[in-house]
Amino acid sequence: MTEIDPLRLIDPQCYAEYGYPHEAWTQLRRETPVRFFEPPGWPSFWAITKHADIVEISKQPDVFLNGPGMTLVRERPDDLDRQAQQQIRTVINMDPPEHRAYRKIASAYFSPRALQSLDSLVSETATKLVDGLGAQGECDFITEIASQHPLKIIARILGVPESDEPFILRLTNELFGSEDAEFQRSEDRMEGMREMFTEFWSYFTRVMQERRSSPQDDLASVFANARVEGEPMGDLETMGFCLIAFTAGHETTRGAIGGGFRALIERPEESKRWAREPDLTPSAADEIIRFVTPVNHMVRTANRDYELRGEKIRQGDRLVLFYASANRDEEVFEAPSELLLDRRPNPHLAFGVGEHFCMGAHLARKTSGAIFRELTSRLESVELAGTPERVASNLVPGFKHLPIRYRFAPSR
Amino acid sequence: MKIIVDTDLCEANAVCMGICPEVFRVEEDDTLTILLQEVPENLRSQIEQAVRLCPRQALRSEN
Ligand code: HEM
Ligand code: SF4
Repeated sequence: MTEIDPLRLIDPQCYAEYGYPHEAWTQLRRETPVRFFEPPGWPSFWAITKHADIVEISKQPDVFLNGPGMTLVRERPDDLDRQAQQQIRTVINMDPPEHRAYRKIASAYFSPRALQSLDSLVSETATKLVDGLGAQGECDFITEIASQHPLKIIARILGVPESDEPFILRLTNELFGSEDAEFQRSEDRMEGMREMFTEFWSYFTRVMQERRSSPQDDLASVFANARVEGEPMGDLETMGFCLIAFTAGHETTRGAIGGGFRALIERPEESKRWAREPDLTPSAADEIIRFVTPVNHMVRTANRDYELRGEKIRQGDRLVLFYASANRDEEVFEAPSELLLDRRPNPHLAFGVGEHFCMGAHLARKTSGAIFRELTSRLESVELAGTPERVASNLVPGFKHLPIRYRFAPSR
Repeated sequence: MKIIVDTDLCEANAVCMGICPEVFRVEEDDTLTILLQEVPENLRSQIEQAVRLCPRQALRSEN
């Protein structure tokens, strides 16, 4: 039995260098699935690694709160991250009963039926992006495809014109990849964050004003004109919704597409199978999302003592729900480390479960499904053309660069 | 076994359909249809999983 180094589970640099800590999680699931750690420089936490335990915790949103903080961040003298997290309020850091009223505002827009109207936008965007690569060559798959596709979709449903996409891409990278040096705009984190919020704020204030004076059939108009208990939704909450659509929707889907494509490059047979059987797309896209698990963890804070697998969790303790571990839980998934495009059923937790279940789950499946269908159906050959690099993050540790050499058939 | 849906809670995200399409179908108008009134024994564990994983706690099963 080797001793687990908790930094392997939470240090952003470890994720950048070694990827997800599946070996450590396998050991934790087997030996100490509910395990308390006190790493130096970090807040103490319980590592929750079993599927069943994450479900049990997530189904009690009145006991295990999101409000006190959703992610595990290093202790800092300036307490910057916590301040940043509290500046803007979003559904993801609200708790019941307040949470329900806000969730309702947007949930109808994201239902499978409502999203049908986006089908052609999603598949046309995918075709155009792959066309843009040309018949053969080399590129960075992340910047050219994985990042572009979800961004374009989210930007469009939020009313951002195409010409502003580069600006929005820069903002989202800086906000989410803020542990990663490549995406930091100034030495001084505090200053950088503040600047970014200001830019974001003024940009979307303008979009919201436009949608109030002339509402359209899009998500921006839903946010701009939302009412909570009869009153117009406050500015902080409206901005929170705009922000979460980008932060929660962009890098996550990019992670699924980037990680999924890497997995397909390593498994040419699966890629060919997807090309032969396009009807696999819904289950295959969902399996990619399980396999990659773009959102590595979320945090809950216990608001009372609670016993879990015989361990005594105290009021105020932090619990880190490692979704990526739950999605390889041997008790739930057969051959958990294999990518099975027709896996069914697939009760993975990549989108969370319970009260805060991802609102964008369908959009994410649709977006990644469309791009993979386009890619696999046209792919003649692909290989790595350099070393893939991951974002230094313990939250969304996806690839930021994935250099490839490729050859595509023309679009049908 | 019978399944009961709380239509006020259901938000049509089709998690249940993903787990057990034999029994759950989300319709074009975002309503949920239970396709089998009596659920056969061989689907029991899938149903239990669907009830457990429904994000809005909108499902219940009764024997
Ligand atoms: C593959 C891509 C995605 C993954 C893996 C993912 C994952 C997650 C996870 C794990 C949560 C749960 C957080 C918790 O339990 O505290 C969540 C919540 C959320 N996601 Fe996603 N997400 C993805 C794409 C999207 C997209 C495209 C959107 C919208 C455009 C979106 C919007 C949201 C929102 C609004 C919430 C908060 C829901 C609430 O608190 O009630 N997500 N997501
Ligand atoms: S999983 Fe629950 S909320 Fe989702 S469609 Fe089924 S019953 Fe409705």
